[in-house]
Amino acid sequence: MSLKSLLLGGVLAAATTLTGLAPAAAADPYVIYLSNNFMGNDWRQQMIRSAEIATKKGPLAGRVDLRIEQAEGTVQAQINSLNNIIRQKPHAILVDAASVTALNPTLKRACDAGILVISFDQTVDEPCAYALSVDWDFIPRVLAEWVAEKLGGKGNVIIDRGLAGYEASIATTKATEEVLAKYPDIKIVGYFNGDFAPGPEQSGVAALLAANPQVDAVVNMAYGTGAMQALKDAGRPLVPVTAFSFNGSAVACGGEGASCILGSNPPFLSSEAIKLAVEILDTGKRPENRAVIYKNDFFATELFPSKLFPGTEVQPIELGKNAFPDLSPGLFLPVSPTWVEITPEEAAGKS
Amino acid sequence: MRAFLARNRLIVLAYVGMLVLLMVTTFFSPGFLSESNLRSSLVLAAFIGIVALGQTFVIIGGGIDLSVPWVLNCAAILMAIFCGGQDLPLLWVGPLILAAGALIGLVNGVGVALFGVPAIIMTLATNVILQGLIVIYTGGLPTPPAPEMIRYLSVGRIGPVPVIGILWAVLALVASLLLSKTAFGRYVYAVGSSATVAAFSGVPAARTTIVTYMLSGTTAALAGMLLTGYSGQAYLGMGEPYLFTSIAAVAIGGASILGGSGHYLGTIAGALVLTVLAGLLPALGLSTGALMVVYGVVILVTVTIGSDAFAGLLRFAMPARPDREKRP
Repeated sequence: MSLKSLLLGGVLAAATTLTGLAPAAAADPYVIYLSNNFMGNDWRQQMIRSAEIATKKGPLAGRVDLRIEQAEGTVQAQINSLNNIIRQKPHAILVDAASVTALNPTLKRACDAGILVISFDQTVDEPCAYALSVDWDFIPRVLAEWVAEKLGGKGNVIIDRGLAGYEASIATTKATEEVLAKYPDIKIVGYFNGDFAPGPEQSGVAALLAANPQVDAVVNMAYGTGAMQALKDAGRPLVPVTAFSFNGSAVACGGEGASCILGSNPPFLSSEAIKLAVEILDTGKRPENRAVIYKNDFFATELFPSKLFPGTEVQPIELGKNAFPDLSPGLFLPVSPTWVEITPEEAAGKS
Repeated sequence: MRAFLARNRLIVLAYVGMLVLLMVTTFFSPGFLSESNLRSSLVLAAFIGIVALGQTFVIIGGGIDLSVPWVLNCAAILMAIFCGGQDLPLLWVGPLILAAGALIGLVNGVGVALFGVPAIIMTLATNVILQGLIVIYTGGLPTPPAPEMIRYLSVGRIGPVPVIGILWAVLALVASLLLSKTAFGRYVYAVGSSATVAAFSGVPAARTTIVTYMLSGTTAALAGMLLTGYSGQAYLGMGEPYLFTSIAAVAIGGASILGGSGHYLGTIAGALVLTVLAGLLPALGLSTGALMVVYGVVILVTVTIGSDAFAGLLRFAMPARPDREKRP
């Protein structure tokens, strides 16, 4: 399936199913398992916290008996864990998957047993399971368009290729190149591998700055703060920077007078998956398309009306309101869905 | 002078290699020799150099320390959590973390020297255990930003010189003196050549081995704290790149991976080679895969040129002219 049809179908599906929650139908809470395959980074931890908080307050309070299963490391561990879960016959299984394909037979058995299966974040391609995620083709296109507009269609750009061989990195790089290729006066003068970590990002940008006397914008796949530090160290002006919505990145952009736009892949996708599950269980109505796209927000230092994707939400970064200098730089923004309030402190695990 | 060259052929070769690489890099990346870039490269080299300092002692002593990544990472994360973004706590947190690093080294050293666990297994196990412990301890909670003081130490500068460059120079001096001028230094070489012979000659072999691992734990912890200052935050996985680079720096610097030879002066050249290489590669505009291949090949070539086997091959291909050598 092409990413574009995935986007269109998904948005439609999301629009029809996510409009408001039905009133509490069942007295007994739904038993919903969340199967997570990895806990070694900040994003996954915030994802788990978001799921827990979203079932404790707001419209889902008391509606869900959420049980979180951590299957550390391997695909096999997650399959074992899922098999145990299936034997409990829960109402729904949410899965942040270790593999796009390897869990398919197991998840198919869950579907056949009448269990609702929703994969989210790292989704699966088993047809009976829903796949809830942000759109990894759309996000880099908006970021690239922003760069091109910022530069007035003319200038030298360097691009983060992310992690070598990682599928999402390849797709993101390709989408970025495609958008920039439409501007004949924009030149991609170099690539670096940021490895989704601030250190490699900083040294990668520093190396390209040494090789290129003129760099007018930096497209990052993660932090952006490393790129800004490298620009500063090299005594270069703070050129426009794109990155993803780490709290530290938003604070740096908001505080340093840089020009930034940040894409987001919110950890509360887990909360959205729970909401989708409850919605389907309440009404029996299923989304038409198995791919459900979460339409993410962007953060920027100023408003940006996208022409490629009119109506794209871009929030101006405001310190204390949507970026938090007192909280960890590793916190992901936005912290809360619209239908339940997760406070920044809750998301950071401080309360 | 000739005697010096003969004794330190490998170290001299490492510096020559570094200069050649530097010239190549300048050709592809004209801004490489600019003051600001040299400064930021020196900072990056210093991180490798500091991790590789302890590694140099361990390798000369006949061991290897694979626990470096998570010692470094734990130090970074604990420092960030204990300081909470404030400078003042650093006064007690800094020494505490260094001591903790030394303690991990003590565990490694005792395992290797007293219980006879192979160094690879011992330090690899420590590495995995530390990774698990830090995930349990933090619960994966994101950590506070780095204190300003540690930022100053790693990215600040005095005049045109980065602070960490000065720190590295002092450490390099201490390490070189330790190796060349002290009994401990001679013990390390002796143990690395043959632990049995060393022990029979009255060298405290076990104690010497343990101390090398403690040094390695300490320098990895120090690098972890400084690296947090560099990126402004600590994050899981930040130590991973330093496993290969710390060992490669020692090997490029001419130390035998089997122990008994080498010097920290060579390791410095190794750290510089790796940093110049990292600066050269992005400027080549190659694909990601090709970059990794070039990176690996350059390191292999650099290490091979310094090897005894390669020197032997050279003598075979270009025999020294006996008439010149034998002239009275």
